[in-house]
Amino acid sequence: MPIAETDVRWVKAPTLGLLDRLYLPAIAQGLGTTIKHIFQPRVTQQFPEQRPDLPANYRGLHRLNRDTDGRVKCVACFMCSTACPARCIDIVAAPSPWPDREKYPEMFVIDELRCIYCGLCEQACPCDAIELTSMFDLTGLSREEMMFDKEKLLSVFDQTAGIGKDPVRTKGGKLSCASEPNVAGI
Amino acid sequence: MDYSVIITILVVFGILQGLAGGLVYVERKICAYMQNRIGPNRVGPVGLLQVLADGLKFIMKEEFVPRYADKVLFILAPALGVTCAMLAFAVVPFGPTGDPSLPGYKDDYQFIIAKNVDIGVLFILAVGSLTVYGIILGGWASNSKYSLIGGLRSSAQIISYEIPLGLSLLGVILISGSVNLETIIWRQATTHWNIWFQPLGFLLFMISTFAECNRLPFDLPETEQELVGGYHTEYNAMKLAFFFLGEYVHMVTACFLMVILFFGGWHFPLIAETDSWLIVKLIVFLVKMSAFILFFMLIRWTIPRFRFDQLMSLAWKVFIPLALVNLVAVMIVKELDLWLWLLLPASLAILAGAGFITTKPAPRKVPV
Ligand code: SF4
Ligand code: SF4
Repeated sequence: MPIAETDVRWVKAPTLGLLDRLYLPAIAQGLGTTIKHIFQPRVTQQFPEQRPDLPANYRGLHRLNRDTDGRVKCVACFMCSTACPARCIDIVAAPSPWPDREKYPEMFVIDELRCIYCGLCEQACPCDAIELTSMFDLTGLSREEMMFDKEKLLSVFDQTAGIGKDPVRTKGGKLSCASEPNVAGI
Repeated sequence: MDYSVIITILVVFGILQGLAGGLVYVERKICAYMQNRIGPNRVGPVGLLQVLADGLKFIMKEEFVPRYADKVLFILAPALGVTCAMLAFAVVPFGPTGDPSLPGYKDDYQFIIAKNVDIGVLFILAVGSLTVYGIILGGWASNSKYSLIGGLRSSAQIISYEIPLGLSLLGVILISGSVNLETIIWRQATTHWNIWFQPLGFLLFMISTFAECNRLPFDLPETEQELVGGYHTEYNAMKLAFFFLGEYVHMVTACFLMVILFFGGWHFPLIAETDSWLIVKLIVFLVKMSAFILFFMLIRWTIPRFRFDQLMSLAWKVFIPLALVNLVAVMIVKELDLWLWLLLPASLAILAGAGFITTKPAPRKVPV
């Protein structure tokens, strides 16, 4: 459909007057702006001493959540590794030693160097077992060090749980047997 | 043999080299403040030792010469740049000087390396424009396209801006009747500052100086966005530091020149008159000079860079005609022995006239 004549609005470039042509007032105005900024408060954060206040839905380092009994919440359903676009989650499932679930991850490794921190694993997980925390300054001296295994991911949970920056749960309510308190005692 | 000259030379060049480092620090701080940042603050108290750290880094780096570069010229270029910049400082008074027409002038201590040089301004213009050789040689010897384009741009720019730079000074020289910088200061101290008679000349001189010093908005020889680093793309370590040193010394010289030629040097009404203490005069002079350096830096972070054709048309179509008309106005006033203060409204009228000429009529209505 062609654009109707009535919808077209012609805008003319403003004509430059005498003062504009001399450029000096514009330069003085620019200097005014920059000088004004000199006296404005600084926005710099002194990073290592002053930690940034990140939002709860920040997508940083992963953690593997524990349930109320301190066991790993994950039920080794492979939803996260299927969803992962970077293919960086490696899970080996085994029959669960506990009666309330069928499987548990015998091995759970995330290659944090390959991860693109998209958060799809967190969304895919049916029982909120994997979450992205607001820890962002992970460093390592070797590639092996950056392959975070189950123990390491659980220890991230221990470090970050209860600091008031828990990731936002995308879905509340009963998620799975592993995500709720072990009330039945089965 | 006058040992005071040798001591002066050593002290001045020592201070100049330290000053270049200090100016880098000031520049970074000002830039940071203007962008609501803090700037260097990690090394030493308020980051003051950053200067030392940077210097150390320059010294410790590997002295690298690209394989296809012309080795001799490649090393000569920064040395030439810094030598010429330093040399120009020889005739610049950096503190109070006396009345050069008095017979005892040369025997007293004066805050200048080469006393009573009768070609002062000419010497500075001649030697100062030699610094472009360092840039062109560096660009040529690097054997890289970026460097070469940077060097070529620099030569075109500096040749163009030499003309308005010289022309805008002629007015001051005519009024003072001398090219000796000490005489120019003394005349201003005993009568009026030249800025009152030559505001337009000052404006042209200052803007041309920006171009001469390769400072933003005219830093086309080293545009980071298009030319990586321009003429110093291939340079590192002390050779790069020498380029920077030359650039900052050039800037300091230019700021001194502006104060000397237009703002009365060490003179300030009521505070620093001809019979004031030396220390007062010295402080007044240095404060004025520092104010100009600060202004240079403020401008650097305020105005975006010009396009190359804009740069050229500014020099050839605006500055040279304006400087010529300004010069003619001074000549008329001097020749007819008119009142010197007439030059103040004349300058403003010339500027306004130039604005009127370039004001374009309203564009024709766009046909629908
Ligand atoms: S954040 Fe994205 S890339 Fe990283 S493990 Fe999760 S799904 Fe894979
Ligand atoms: S972390 Fe969640 S999605 Fe991934 S295997 Fe475990 S339970 Fe399944």
